[in-house]
Amino acid sequence: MRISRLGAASAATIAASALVLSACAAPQQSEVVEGSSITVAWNQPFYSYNSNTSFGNATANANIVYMTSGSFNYYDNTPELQKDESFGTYELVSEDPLVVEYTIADGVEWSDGTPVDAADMLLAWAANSGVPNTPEFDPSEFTDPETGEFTEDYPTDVVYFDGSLGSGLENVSQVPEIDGKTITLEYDNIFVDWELVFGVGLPAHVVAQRALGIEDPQEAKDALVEAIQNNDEEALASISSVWNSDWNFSEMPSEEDANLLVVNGPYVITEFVADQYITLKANENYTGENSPQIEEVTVRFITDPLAAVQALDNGEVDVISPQATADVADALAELDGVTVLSGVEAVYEHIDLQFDQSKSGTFNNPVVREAFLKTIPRQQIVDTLIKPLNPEAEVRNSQLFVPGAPGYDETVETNGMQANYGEVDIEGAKALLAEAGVTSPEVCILYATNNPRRVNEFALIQESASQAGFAVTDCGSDDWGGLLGTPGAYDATFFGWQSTSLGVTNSSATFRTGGINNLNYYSNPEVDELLSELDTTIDPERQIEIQVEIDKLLMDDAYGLTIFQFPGVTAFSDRVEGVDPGPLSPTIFWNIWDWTPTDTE
Amino acid sequence: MATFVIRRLIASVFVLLAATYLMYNLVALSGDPLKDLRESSAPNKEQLIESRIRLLNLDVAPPLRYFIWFAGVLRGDFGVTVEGRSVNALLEQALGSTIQLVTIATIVAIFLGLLVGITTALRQYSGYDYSVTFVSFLFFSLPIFWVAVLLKQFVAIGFNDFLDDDPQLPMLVIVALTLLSGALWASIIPGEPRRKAVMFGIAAVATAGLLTVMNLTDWFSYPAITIGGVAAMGIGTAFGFTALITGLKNRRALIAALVVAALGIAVYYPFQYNLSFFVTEWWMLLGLAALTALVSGVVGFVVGGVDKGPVVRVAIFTGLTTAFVIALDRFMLVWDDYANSGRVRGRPIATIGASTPNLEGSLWVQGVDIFTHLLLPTLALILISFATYTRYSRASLLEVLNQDYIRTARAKGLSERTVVVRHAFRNALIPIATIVAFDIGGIVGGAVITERVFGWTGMGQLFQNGLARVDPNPVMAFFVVVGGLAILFNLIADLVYAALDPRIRVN
Amino acid sequence: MSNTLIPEPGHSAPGVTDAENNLELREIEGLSQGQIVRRRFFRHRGALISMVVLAFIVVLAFSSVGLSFSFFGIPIRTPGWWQWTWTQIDPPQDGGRPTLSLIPRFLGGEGLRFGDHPFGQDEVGRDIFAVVMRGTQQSVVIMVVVGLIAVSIGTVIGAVSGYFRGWRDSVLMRFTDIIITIPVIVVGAVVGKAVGNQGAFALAIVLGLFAWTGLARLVRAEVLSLREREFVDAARVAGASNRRIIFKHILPNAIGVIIVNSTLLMAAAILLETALSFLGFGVQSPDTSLGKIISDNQAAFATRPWLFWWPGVFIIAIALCINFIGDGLRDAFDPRQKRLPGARTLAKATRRAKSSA
Repeated sequence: MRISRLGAASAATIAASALVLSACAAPQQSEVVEGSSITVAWNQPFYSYNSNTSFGNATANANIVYMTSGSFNYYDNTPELQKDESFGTYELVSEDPLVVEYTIADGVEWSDGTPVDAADMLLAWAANSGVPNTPEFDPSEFTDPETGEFTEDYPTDVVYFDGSLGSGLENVSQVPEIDGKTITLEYDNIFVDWELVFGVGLPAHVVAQRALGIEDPQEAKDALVEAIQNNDEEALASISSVWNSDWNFSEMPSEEDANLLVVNGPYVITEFVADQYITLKANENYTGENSPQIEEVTVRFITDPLAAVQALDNGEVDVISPQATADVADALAELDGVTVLSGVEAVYEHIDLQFDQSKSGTFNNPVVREAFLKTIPRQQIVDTLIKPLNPEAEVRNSQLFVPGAPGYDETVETNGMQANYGEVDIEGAKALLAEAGVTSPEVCILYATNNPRRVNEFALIQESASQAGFAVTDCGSDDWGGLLGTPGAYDATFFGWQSTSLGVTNSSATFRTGGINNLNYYSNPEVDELLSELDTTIDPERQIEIQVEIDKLLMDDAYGLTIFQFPGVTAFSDRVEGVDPGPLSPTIFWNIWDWTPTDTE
Repeated sequence: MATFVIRRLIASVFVLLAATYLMYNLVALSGDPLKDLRESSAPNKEQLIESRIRLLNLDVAPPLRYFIWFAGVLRGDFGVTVEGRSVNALLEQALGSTIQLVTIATIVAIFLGLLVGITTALRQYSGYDYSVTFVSFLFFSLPIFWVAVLLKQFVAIGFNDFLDDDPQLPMLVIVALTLLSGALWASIIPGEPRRKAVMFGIAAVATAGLLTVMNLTDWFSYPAITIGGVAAMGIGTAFGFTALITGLKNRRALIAALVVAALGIAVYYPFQYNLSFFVTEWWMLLGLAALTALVSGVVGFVVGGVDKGPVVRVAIFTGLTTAFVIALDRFMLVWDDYANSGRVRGRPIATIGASTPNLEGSLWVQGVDIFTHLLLPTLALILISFATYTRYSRASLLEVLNQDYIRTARAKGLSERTVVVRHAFRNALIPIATIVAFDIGGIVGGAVITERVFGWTGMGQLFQNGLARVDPNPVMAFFVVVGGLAILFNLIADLVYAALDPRIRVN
Repeated sequence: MSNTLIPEPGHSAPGVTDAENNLELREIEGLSQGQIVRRRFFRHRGALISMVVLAFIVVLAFSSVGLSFSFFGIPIRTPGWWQWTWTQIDPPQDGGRPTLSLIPRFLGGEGLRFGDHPFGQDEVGRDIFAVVMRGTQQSVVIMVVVGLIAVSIGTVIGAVSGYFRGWRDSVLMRFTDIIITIPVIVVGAVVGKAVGNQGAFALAIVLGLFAWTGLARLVRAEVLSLREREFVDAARVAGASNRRIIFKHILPNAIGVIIVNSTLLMAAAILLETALSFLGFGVQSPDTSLGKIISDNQAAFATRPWLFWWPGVFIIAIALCINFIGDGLRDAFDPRQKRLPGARTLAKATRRAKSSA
């Protein structure tokens, strides 16, 4: 575990001394007004502070929300879930029925001085579970077709929270009990990923102030709690509409909307220029253990990777995490005074074979599937395309486990991906084709033609597979995403799956018969059964066992192969220390409070 | 004339409507707007797709969806983007930043293009002409993003590295620049080889001297024009404008210009160290420029004598140039503060963005900040349009110089200056004016690539992001503005043409 | 990227001085129009050199890696003399560094040699010379196809519009306005996104369909003035059909405008393709074009410069050549921009004229 757990006091001391030092740095009688800062480049502009809505659901937003919010837990760079008990604690009260109790720590306050308490958590539950939503209500009937905003005849007594519905919290269908700073969630069904779905979001008092027109924060909160508990549809209707749309701002909110900037995390938003940059300053009211040591963090929005590299070289930004290519990595390596970290991202490249609805029907025969997989030059792909970026890159050998995660070594031993497809076996493939009695079977591969790396991968696969007698043709398209799962469009495809958490319920969508991400029409009743068991198993040991079993079944069916974990590159100048990116969102920002400035001139 | 304008306007509106219909469908049919969601593994994917379909009416076929969009535009509403952001708000920001980006580039390109075009026409088939032809074709053939990468590497990063420790021009560079400037002047100046040689010598010595002084005074760390420079520039331009516009024989013009220059020199100290601190808004600067023009005009008018017009013009031009030099010097005064501030940290020339985040300071500091951010994109834009303007102004002037009335003017015994400035130049400007009008209409839309490489979020970004995400609303907002401007300036070009050239009837 | 030429006002100059006149006449004595044009063109050194260089580039590109296209679904490939094709993968040697060396040994270089991969290799090991040649082919195809289509459409629309005037003119010109309103880069991007994956040829055809507007306006202006000339009246009196008058009498006289502008248009087409590829809307993988090679390898600028410089050099070379050829043609066709006789030549001519008188 690499988090340095500084005591709140020592962190505060360091932060304070940083402030003092930077104050000293101000030159005498200059026409420039200034303090010291660190600038980070990100490839997409921030545009909404509520990243739980379907609008605001983007990494660029989540990063800023992360830095300005306290949370019960977060992923470190292992990645492992870390608890932040200075913000609050949670406890599994019972497994069946599943009951969880969350308590906010004493002294945790919003940046305007209002304490964070159960009302905030109750709002988070209401918004993200969608339980108070008026049933059978279809908001599209009241949406202005031109603007997408709600029309004037939108019924005032209809409640519709556009929260992260369908992600698990909807299993808590009864209004939770609250008491002071504690909330108790009782799940109807066992839900394994319960730990990942709950946190404090927007400030309840600001939502209520804006929605109900009550000045006093405490009164506003009480009114909100009452509205939720009594299911007061009229009040909830305006609360939900404030919650849905008020926090969508793409430039600095005006003076009278300043309460939109009320946060409870290490940083507060102080400056925001549309599509250019957003600036965060250390939050004076923050009392948690993750006290920031850099007074001011500016995130600049730079899309082009090379532009980011040159901006780093020119000292305009201090930390970048550009889309990685070998050239970007090389260019970074040549810069003076820049530290480059290679690592992996939570995206893995994999090749899938179509089980049904394929273009040529080649892969309806399991033996041909096996033969094709034997020709995939996984090691060569990793060596030529990934190693230049991340010298420690390895071939990934499991559909369900991330390399290094508990259970990975176990599954590699049993699933046979490493044993049977670890090396290209042209002779073996030829023998299997002969056994199947097919000559030069056609394989049309769908991939992203607008991604140079994938184009290169395709070239390598084509070259290798043709040696075994496969007629590999090009079904690639820059519109590949739209073609995924299209019946009759292709025989095999390779692309990346991204994981936003380590929750085990993600596998269900991909491997279950008819799952929404099951794009290759895979169906195995045994796997379906195991997935159902996995979704209700809380014991981590048992979860791993089930996943290992699924992994093996997938390989026995010659489902496809995983190739590599996406390489990530982070580079930072010598003005900052402590940057140590993790694979899961918010990647580089996860330990923003551990970053320290080295610039003391 | 009025009927013509009205007819053209009505026709233009229909043209624009037809073009938007075409464009809307092209954009909407160019890809799959749900692509990113289809690739997502979010558990609530279905819901996200559903809500986007609702947001953008994706269930209506594009040929019909156009009318939904059009109804919105009639109410002044350009709709929302895929992310649900208001296109109106985006358009406002984008237009502002693009105009900021292209204005200076356009002005400088026109100025340089005209200057170089005219000199090449006057020296047709000289070494200078050939080199300029080659260079402008070369610029015209360069892919702009390719140039941008080089500019960033060599102009920004290279120059900043140069500034980093004790910036002194190396001897080699001084020698090269000296020879270059000598050769340039020698080839522009007409006449016998001996005169050219003298010119070469003067230009070379002047350049070498200037560069050496810059090195000795540490000019690159503490740039300044100082009162000496301002005086030299003021008096120089006084003579220059007089020679160009009225001829040095016109004593009254020369006196007026010199008086204006002297006024400029007189206000130098009071302005630099006192008055300029009260200039806190940009409009004040404009006001000062207007005041300068007014004062100079009055001086010209008083001194003018019989033929007041040209004298007033000489005085105004001299006054504005001197004022500009003084303002430039004022900006240079804060250079050191700016370059060494904690936000810039000794690397002033920026490669990206429109401003230094969170930089606070006086108007002069902000001005320098804008300059350092505009430098590279402006250079890139100039490289491209420079070629067009030089070629057109050269062709235009050459053609005019071959006309009968020029022969007549020469035959009358008018001086070469009068022939070129009074007779030829004005007529050569007619076709150029129309080209400029066309170009201004097109330039707002033409900076798409420049904006992208230099991280400006302007019109081009709006267009390009929209197109990449198959999102017609922002693309159409871009198009309505750019297409509207193109049509408007097309019309203006026709009218200007008719107004300047009586031989052309508008019908 | 506006390349619209404005018709330049003015008339040719009839009353020139004797000395100048004689000088001019001597130059073109006893020559046909074609000979005059050719002679003037060949005197433009830049144009002449450009023509040779361009021819060399085209021959090199098409012969070295052979052709590869599909004709009604049947893939056709002809072999080239170069040892690699542009899809072949040869594990990169020495980091893919170019093996070309032009510095002789006695100057401290490695001697004159080409080696296996004179322009180097990319990260999977494709030969950059072969890739650049393929890209050049595509760029040349785009240039020629856009040129041909745009010139045909532009000439016909301009000629019809200018010759018939009236409602045909109004309709055609308003249609031209519709197309001209849309900035080329915008059309290109939208169209490129739609047909970019169909290959360079399809992209070029569609671009050509939008690129003719400037030319149409110029041709119209030219035709408007030509149709009032005596020779057109003469043809009409002789009973020639409209079609004959347009194609046999008027257009040959407008050929200067057409040729000059088509060269400008072709140069612009190459740069347009480059820009589109940079924005990601141009030719799509696995095929390639010069613009695409550069934009794919932009990041390699500092680390593997050969991926960045070579395609850039070829784009600039082609565009530069085309521009110079256009300039030469313009000088050759457009007598209004003739060489002004120098003072000394003029004096000499005057002396000679006097002595002979």
